[in-house]
Amino acid sequence: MFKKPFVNLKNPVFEYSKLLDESEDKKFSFLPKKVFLNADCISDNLALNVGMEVTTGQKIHPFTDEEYYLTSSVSGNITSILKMEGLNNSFSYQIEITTKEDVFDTEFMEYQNKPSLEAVQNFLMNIPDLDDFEPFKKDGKKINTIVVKAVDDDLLNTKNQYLFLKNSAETVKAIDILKKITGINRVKLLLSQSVYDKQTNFGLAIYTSNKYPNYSDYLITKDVLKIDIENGKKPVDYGVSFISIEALLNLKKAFDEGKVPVQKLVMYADEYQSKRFLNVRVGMPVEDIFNKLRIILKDSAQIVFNGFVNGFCAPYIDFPINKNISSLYMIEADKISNNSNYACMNCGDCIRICPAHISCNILVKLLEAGEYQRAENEFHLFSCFECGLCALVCPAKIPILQHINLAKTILTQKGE
Amino acid sequence: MSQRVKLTVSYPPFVHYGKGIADNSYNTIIAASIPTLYGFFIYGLMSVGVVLLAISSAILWEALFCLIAKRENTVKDGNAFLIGLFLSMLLPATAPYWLVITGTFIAIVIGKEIYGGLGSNPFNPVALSYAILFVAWKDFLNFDIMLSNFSFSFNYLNPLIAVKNFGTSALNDFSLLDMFLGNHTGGIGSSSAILLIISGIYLIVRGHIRWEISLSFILGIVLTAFIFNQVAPDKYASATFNLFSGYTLIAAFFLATENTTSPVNFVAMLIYGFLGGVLTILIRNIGIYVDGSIFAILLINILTPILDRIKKVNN
Repeated sequence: MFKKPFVNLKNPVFEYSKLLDESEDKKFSFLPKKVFLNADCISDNLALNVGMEVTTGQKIHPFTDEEYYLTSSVSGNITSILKMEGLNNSFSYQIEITTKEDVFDTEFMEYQNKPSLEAVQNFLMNIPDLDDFEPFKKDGKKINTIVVKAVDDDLLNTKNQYLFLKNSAETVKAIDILKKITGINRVKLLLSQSVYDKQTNFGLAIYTSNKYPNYSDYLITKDVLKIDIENGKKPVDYGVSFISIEALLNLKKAFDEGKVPVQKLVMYADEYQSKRFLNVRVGMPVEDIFNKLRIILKDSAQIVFNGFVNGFCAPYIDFPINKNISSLYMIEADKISNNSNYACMNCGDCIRICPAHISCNILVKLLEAGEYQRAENEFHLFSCFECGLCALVCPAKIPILQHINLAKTILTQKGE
Repeated sequence: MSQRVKLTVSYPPFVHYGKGIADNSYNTIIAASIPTLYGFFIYGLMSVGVVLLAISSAILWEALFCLIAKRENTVKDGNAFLIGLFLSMLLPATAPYWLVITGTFIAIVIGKEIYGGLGSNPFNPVALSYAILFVAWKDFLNFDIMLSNFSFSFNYLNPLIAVKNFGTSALNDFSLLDMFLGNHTGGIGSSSAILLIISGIYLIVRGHIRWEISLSFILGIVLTAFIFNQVAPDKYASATFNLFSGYTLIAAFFLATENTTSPVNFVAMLIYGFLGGVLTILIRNIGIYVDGSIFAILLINILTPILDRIKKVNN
């Protein structure tokens, strides 16, 4: 994927992909045979049972004693409920729904064209691509700036740029709705530089260059909004919150149509980096997408979600496309990047490329030895904002980012 | 029901920039072979034997150790090859076979593998091995003794030994141009200054060594030697002489820049290299040894963990 230059006097520069042409927008109108919804295991009193009927866009309360809800993306019956173990001793319930003909839930109809925070909290917390958005939370922190990201999080991904180009007029209206709902008037639209240069009529737009990882929340706050972030703090502590353009457009769509959005846009890129944009139901098994695209999955292939640098891979072929998945790649078995058993040999490539100026070389040695507290005290572990560049360039292929994530999780759990 | 497809699961990144450990080793081997070929030209087949024996024994020691320690065989990453080549570049062309084999044993097993392999060694394996050989069998590494049966078209005395014994008056027998071109006795791969500089620049341009270390090492040599020369010109040789003689350039480009034992932050690299240069001249001029580069490198290697803490902090 990358071409290493002969002369290596400078650090390698990685750039986010630009959307070159508006590729085929393949609409998936067909209904998946089944979808999977995941409920975080926050209670033991399960309110669901097998055979229960649900309709598209319906609110499902998985637990009797919790307000937490899921949104069904299809109509049908619940056919199985499985308890699954996830990372860091977390559990979740996987609810399988076998689909029937689409019937839209009417409960949300009364809010059509009447946007309000209450409606969002009661019905729209699961709209596609909405993730951890502070102004919508009931006991959220005080926010004074919202940044709408019309840029993408990983190198190859161009989904958000595509959405903005297709819906630039809608975006302005959607931002007005967002202002009305949250009561926050400082809303900025972050564009990539190439798009910004073309779109001069957006007074609220801001931009930054497309050098990876400039579109990360931390660097936007630091470089574009000019707010310095202390070690261990997050942008949200300084009153800055981020929402993706897909979530914003879905919000507008919900209030326009009086229906809860259940479809999400996913980008698929093949090995030649030709891109396709697919509209899929949330919770649809990834296998169905490949079948629909007529791509044959072979044994030992790898399915990667959300980008090569900082994404994750599917553990099994009917892994559901959840609301936060924005892109999809397949790597064939013989092209999978191998891991290695080497120790850090102190070449310093990671240090020179780290945008947070962390001593990755010393850090990784401490973390391998389990010295998490010392790593935080002396080497600013929490300054890392997890862009993944260190692991991308490491000649020894050490999973530096995983070490850092593990240490952060353990320290956070200890602190609680 | 049809057979379900099984997927491979791994951690990100799912692509890699493409720079690997083997890539680093092989490029360094290419660079180091240029001055070594010149050594073959001067010293003939005997030197070829030493170099090949050093490389093959280094590879064998590593393979053997990996087998005994039940570790993954790491020969293919080229590091053992590189260590063997580096060591042979420092040795005289007539080094006896047992010296070469013992040397590679020390470098590979004691210098590198017992600490856990590549990346864990506290000292540069080649410098450590040479230092032990030098302390144990001093005469076998004395170029004037070892190369006495050769007939050269140039002065057969080793320049550094001559200066150490007779002061700068002995320098009249050496021309700086000859030394720059490599027409003086020394290790198989360490005499030709111009070729060492060319291979050093190749490695810097390809990004395999860090220019800060090499440059500050040379700066340390030049500055310190200049001061000594100004204070007592009859006793201490000039900066250029010191730069082109002995192991100075091989140390600056190949030994001091070894990844594992050198710091990575900008200021730290400058201090590390500069100290190396200063120590080299101090040992040469004040110490009892003829060439101080190897010992200077071992000394600055110790400083690396402390120097690595000097860095710019965010916020």
